[in-house]
Amino acid sequence: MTKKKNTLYRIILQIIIWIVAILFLFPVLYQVIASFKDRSEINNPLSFPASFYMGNYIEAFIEGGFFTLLKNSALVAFFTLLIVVLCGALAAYVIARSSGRFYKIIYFYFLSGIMIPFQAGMIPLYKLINSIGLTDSIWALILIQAGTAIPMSILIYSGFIRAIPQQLEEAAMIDGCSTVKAFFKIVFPLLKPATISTIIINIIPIWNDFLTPLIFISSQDERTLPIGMYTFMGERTADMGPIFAFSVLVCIIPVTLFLFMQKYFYKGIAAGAVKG
Amino acid sequence: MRSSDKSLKRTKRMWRILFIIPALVLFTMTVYYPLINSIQYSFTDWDMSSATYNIVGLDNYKHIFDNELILSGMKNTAVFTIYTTFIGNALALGLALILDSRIRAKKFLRAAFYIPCLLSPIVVSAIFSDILQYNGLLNELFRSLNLDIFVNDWFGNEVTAMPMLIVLNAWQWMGYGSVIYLAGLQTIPKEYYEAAAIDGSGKIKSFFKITFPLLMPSVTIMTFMSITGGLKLFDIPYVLTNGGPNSATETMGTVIYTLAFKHQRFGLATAVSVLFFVVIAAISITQVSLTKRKEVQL
Repeated sequence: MTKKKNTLYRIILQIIIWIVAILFLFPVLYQVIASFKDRSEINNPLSFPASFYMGNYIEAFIEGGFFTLLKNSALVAFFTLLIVVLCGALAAYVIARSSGRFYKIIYFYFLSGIMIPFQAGMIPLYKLINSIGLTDSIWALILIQAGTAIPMSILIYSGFIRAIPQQLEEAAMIDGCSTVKAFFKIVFPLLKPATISTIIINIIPIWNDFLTPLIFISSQDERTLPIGMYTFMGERTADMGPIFAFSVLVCIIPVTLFLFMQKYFYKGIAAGAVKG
Repeated sequence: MRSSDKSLKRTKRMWRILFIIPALVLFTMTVYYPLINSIQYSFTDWDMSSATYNIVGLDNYKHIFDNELILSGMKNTAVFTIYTTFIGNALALGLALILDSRIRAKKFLRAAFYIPCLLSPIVVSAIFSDILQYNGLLNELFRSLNLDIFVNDWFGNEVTAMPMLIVLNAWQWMGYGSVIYLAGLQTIPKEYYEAAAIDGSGKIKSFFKITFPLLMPSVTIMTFMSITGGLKLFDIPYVLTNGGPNSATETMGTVIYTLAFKHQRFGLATAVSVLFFVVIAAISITQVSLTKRKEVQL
């Protein structure tokens, strides 16, 4: 009797969760559908497009300058992640392998950065970037994003390094390996899971960052995708077709990346959360 | 022998310092140096363009509390943070418990709920400003069902704008939170539930006596992320409502941005940002130490 009740309960739960999941995806699907509607169809939100109208995408590509934006976003993401991974792993290696108060203080100095909101120093940072001549350059975005992401990467790497036995590097160093060589040949390859976590945790926030480029970038050639889309939206307030085409293009890369690397996303998020 | 030992030690130390320096310089330059500068400028009438400025003591801090814009930003940020922390945590935990139970197509469901958090705030703003506009999808749906009483200008109405932002936030981050709770649930040994079942404890009792206490580390981190994320809210209200209507969606983030980069009141803006930092730091420290105390060791 209770078993029957249990199965019924489970079927109902299953149906409800499916409906909720479809409702969750609906806004995303809605923009994809709307991006194929032409001008006459777009004002009727309940309709389906009569045909796959590609004009919105052409407008987004050409007038939105999509490729320049994509190139800038890709460069920012690549160099930011490269800096975060290298600087984070190197610093965490020393912190995890050294005892003594000095390194403990350095560790807590880095960790305290997790609590500091970007807005706290945003205004003087504007002046600083100005004075070193990096305003309106993607390098301002790269340095700022990397600097603010370093505390979390040190947290992840140092936890991971502590779990690796020290004998490996010691043996290598006795064999005449220098500290640098021992790190890059022996330690760094072992840190692959931590590196993946660091990249996964940071890549989406870097890709979607809006506030930093809003403040530091003004010229069209240095814009990244979110600011490019913001400008594109500002130029055509009521014309949603091209805007949705643009937003589909902005979404494609993170969503594809996620669909192919789901396992790593879940692991990376969980690793960051547990260590935090 | 001794001297070569010493020089080996010295090169080792040199490498250590060299390994730390890039991270240390970059972090200090982008986080601590600006923060300390903010504190300094908050006591002045600095306006960024002129080279000199006067020290005005606590004047900027006093002006915080008679500035309508700042006060509404504070109030809205507090409301948003409190609601999203409670609602977000409850929904994420509920979803995690469902995804952890025996249901079909778990992988698809988990991915479906996760996808919204990958979307850029600007994309989220574009989608929902269209769906929730006066002639948008939601209202058209109500109209076609003859439910005209529900038709509303969701973001144009002072009363509904902030609740809609809270709903959007829940939609975007529920899947992300459930991933964190799922990871926490998987650390709880199944034997505990078996032992509890043998002792005759029901499902609800098991949840409050076993699941929830052992999930405290996940609760800590989720609460920390909801609070700090809520306090820092900027992108979506900036793009979607621009703080309006009538300051109903101004947040601390939008207020600091507006004061500095639109009104050029840098002294006041830095004072607000310093206060903002102090509040976030104080809340984070208290919250982490409070929920940490409730964590049980396995």
